Amino acid sequence: MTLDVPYLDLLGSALGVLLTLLVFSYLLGDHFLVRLVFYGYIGLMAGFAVVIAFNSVLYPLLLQPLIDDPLAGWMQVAVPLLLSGLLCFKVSTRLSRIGNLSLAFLVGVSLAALIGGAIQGTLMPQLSAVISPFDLERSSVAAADRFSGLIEGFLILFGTVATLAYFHFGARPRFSGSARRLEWIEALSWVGQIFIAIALGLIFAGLLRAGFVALVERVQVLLNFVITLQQGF
Amino acid sequence: MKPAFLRSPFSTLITLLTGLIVLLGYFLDFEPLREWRFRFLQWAILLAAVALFLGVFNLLRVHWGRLSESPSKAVYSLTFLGGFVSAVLMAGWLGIQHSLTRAVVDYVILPIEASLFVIILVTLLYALTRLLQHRLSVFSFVFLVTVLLSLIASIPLLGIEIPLLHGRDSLFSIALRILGTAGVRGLLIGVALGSVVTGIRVLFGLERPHGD
Amino acid sequence: MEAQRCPMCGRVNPPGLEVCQYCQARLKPLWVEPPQDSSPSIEVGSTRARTPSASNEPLLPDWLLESRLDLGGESSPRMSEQDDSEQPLSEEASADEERFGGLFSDELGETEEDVPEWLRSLRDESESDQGVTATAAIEEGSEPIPFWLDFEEGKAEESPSEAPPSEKVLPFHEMPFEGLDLEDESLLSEITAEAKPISAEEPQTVPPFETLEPFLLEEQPSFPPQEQGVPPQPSASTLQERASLSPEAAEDWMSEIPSWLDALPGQDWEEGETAAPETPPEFLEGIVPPFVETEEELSDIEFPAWLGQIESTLEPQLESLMDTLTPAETETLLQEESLGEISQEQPAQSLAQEEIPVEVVGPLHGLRGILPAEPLVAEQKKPSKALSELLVTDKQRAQAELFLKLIEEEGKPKPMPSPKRARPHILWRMLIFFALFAGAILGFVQPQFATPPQELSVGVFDAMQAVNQLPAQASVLLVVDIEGQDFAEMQATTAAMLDQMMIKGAFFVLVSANQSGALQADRLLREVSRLSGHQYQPSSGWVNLGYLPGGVAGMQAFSQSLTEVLPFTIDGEVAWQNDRLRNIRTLSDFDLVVVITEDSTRARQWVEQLKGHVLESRLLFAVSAQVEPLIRSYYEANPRQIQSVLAGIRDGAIYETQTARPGWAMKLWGAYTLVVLTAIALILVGSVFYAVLALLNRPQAQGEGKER
Repeated sequence: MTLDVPYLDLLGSALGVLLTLLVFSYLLGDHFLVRLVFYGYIGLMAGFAVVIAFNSVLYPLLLQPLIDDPLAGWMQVAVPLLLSGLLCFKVSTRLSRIGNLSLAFLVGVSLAALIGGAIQGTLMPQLSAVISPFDLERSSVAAADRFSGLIEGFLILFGTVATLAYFHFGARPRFSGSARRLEWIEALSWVGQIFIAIALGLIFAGLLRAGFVALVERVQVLLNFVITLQQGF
Repeated sequence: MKPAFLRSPFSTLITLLTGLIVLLGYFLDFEPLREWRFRFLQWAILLAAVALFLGVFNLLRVHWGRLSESPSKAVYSLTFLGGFVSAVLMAGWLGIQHSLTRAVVDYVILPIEASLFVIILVTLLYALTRLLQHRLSVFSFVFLVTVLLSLIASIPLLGIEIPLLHGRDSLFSIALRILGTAGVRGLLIGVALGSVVTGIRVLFGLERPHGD
Repeated sequence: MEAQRCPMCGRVNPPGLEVCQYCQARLKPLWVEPPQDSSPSIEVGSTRARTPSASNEPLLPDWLLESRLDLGGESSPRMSEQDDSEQPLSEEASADEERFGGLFSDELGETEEDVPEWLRSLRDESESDQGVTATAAIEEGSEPIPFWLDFEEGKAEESPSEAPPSEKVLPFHEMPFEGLDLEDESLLSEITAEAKPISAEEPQTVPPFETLEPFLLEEQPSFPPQEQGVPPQPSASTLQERASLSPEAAEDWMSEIPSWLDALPGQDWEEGETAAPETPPEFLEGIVPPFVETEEELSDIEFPAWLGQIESTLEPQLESLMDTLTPAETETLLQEESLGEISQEQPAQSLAQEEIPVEVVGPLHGLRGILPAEPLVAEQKKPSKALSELLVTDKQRAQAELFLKLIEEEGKPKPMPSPKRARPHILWRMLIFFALFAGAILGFVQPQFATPPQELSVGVFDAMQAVNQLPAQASVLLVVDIEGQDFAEMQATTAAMLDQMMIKGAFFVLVSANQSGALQADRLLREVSRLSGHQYQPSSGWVNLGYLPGGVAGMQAFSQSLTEVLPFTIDGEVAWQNDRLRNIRTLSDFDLVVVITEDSTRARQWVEQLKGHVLESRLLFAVSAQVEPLIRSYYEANPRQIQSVLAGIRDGAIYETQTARPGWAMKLWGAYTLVVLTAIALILVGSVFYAVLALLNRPQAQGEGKER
């Protein structure tokens, strides 16, 4: 096993190990030191976020034009400055309604981008992917594999429809007061739940695998630190 | 209760107009439209950055206020403020790519985040083992079996390759690919449809997630 | 035929229907009022007669017959039996009696033509059920109407044209809004408001509920006469009959009148009158034995044979017993006997009270002596305003019921979950942690347990091809959207690929859509460079554009014009004046775009926003294992939306194996495989244990649930 921790970084590694063990101790329960670590971590991240946002966006887009050419810069940044100023009213409880105008602008733009992306980037391509196996003329699958491709396409189509049926919540009220979906939708959604369970199972397994890597990396850091200490003393 | 667009018609109008311009610029290749769309997007980026600043400002205000409270709470708030000030000084004065800043990222931020993920991992495993105790159903069983098979297939079992389980063309791989793709594709289409419908509702003032 | 209007709900029904198509109420009368000349006039004391003719009988459906029998309870058949035993009826009349359950068992006076048929039957039914004595045998002009119907009579006499009788008995209708909460105050107030004008017009009318109250509470004092309207005045013939009664008989008879009968109208004047002792009241015929004053009269009565046998057996014994008694004892016994007769009547009276029909449906459920609504159905009348306002469609009714049910459910008290004792699951969690920890340590100490992955996956193959096709000194955009928690995995996934790019001398442009990613991007390149032995440094090797705020809006703006959106580096330096980036103006100018993320939402958003701005053949995704199932849908779509997917440490290890340059992924691989194996074992053991525990506790839990 090789050691990757340089000697000069020993102090930093010790701090890292200490913080790691403190966070691990959270498994035993919440305590004062862990809380201190979390509060300090949040403070650090907030500080970095402010600096990064200022350097990446605010300074170049809002201040730099004013510094470069004040007259033209004002024309350029007048509207975003106004919107930003209005948004600052959100801090005040009494005047927060004024900030809704800026938020309305932000929401409108973001939602339009979201809608456009969802239609063009997900909805159309995924619908096309569901039906493309049945387009035998344009299929890129070899002729020998077309039958199996067709079956595979059918299974995927069925699973997709069944999964979507699970999210169909339209129901008719009955005289008994209950509301229930149509029988065939109910049956289809039951099958859809199986597909959803498989999909979520795969995602969950991926999450566990990512966590295993994080654990292994932490263990490696701890081992390296111990070995370094042994070698050093 | 009044509809959202009647409660605050001006905000609704702004949302609708900006949204329509950006949306039309997305689909129509018309230069003025594209230009206004880009301008709006740029302003939105600026506003998002300002919103981040406001969020941090609010956080600071809260913790500053808690300094005068009980000493136990003040200690935590003091730690927060200390971390914030030191990060601003380091990153702002020395720069993000300075060695000291990098060391803070490497030896403080990263260990905390990774260790927290390990805590989450243990909690997830613990919850998974108790899944059948809380919900003994077909779906729980399918979920559990999928997780187990997926984990088994992801690694060679001490050098042993199980024919039906391991390999790109194994039965498990094909089944998992087809079934998983079907489920995920359904979820993706559902998410996209939900995004579109919710977005249109907000654009036309039927819903207002940003207040009245 | 004209369209018929439903008397219950007021809606217009097509002609020919027997029941309302909206509320199922009967549209046609159950029987038709027989012509006056067809109803036999009955004299006082004669046998009863049946009003309905044979031709009307088929109109009575089975359900009504059953309901009648139910309504009458057991009293009617019993009454019939008594009638049969004492006053044999004709065969036809007897059949009718059984069939109609006493509905038509009226004893009509000579001048009863003005009294409606339904009122007659009801009055008689209630009277006979109560066992009312001869005080009710008032003659026709003052036909013995129960006091709770008296208000009608009085009103009809006073202002017969003001309002039809049917409106006065409105509360007795079967309401067509079953299921609605009639206890609701608003609803009641609405109905009351509708009813007020009627009562205002007829102040002398006693509300039916109020008149029912003393009837039910039998011992309550009577209403003052002025409240009950004008009492029916006795006719001359009745007075004559009463005058013919001997004073002794009248005294005996009147002494047995229960106090509640005092409430009946007209009793005040009756006290001073004499009553006919030998004439039982008409309505009691067949219910109580005839009043007998002398042994001669007793001998005229035909008793059943079995009663005669008992009499013949007991008579000698009684005679011998009487002989042994002294005169004083005999007198005492006689006094006791007379007292016993009185006391025996009280239970009989309460028994008769129990036999009063009880309303079983509708808002008057549970009340005794309610006027049945069915006969009123036959009356064609304009529905009241209150009813027409409550007209609802089936859908509205269903929704109202659903709403009421919801409110009812919400109002039900729910048992508070019992506070569960905190269990020491922390042991199991600690066991999981230490087992995984031990597996990782074992993996590092004994790396020979791990076998490197050999098989080349499609994603890795495509990624290798894309990297291999990169020109020397290529410019590569790295979108690094990762948090510190996933840094190790993302480094393991991308290390081999980045190493290959560095070998080709690629220049990197870094951007991130989250703040943490902007910090991690630098570290990623530094670590890969260090571990792979490259000399990559900021500025010369990469440019970090920093943080891109705004979410999807920022991504879209960046895709449209990255130089305008992020003109500076993360340290505030001008970015696009770098010699390696002079030719870069749009995304399509990059030789390769690699999105590195562990967030499935961000991965999807980047796919959506980069579409149309980057060629699919130049778009790679290096993602966490948790994002793989989602992003694979884009990768396996036809046509593909992305060129390749590298997912998790496994693909990274395969990449390193294929390039024969073991790196970060292979360094962790051994420990990783042992940790995964440990986790599999833990999941299996834990799941089986807890599943068995759940199965064992299930019967117990079910039992507890049933007890609750």
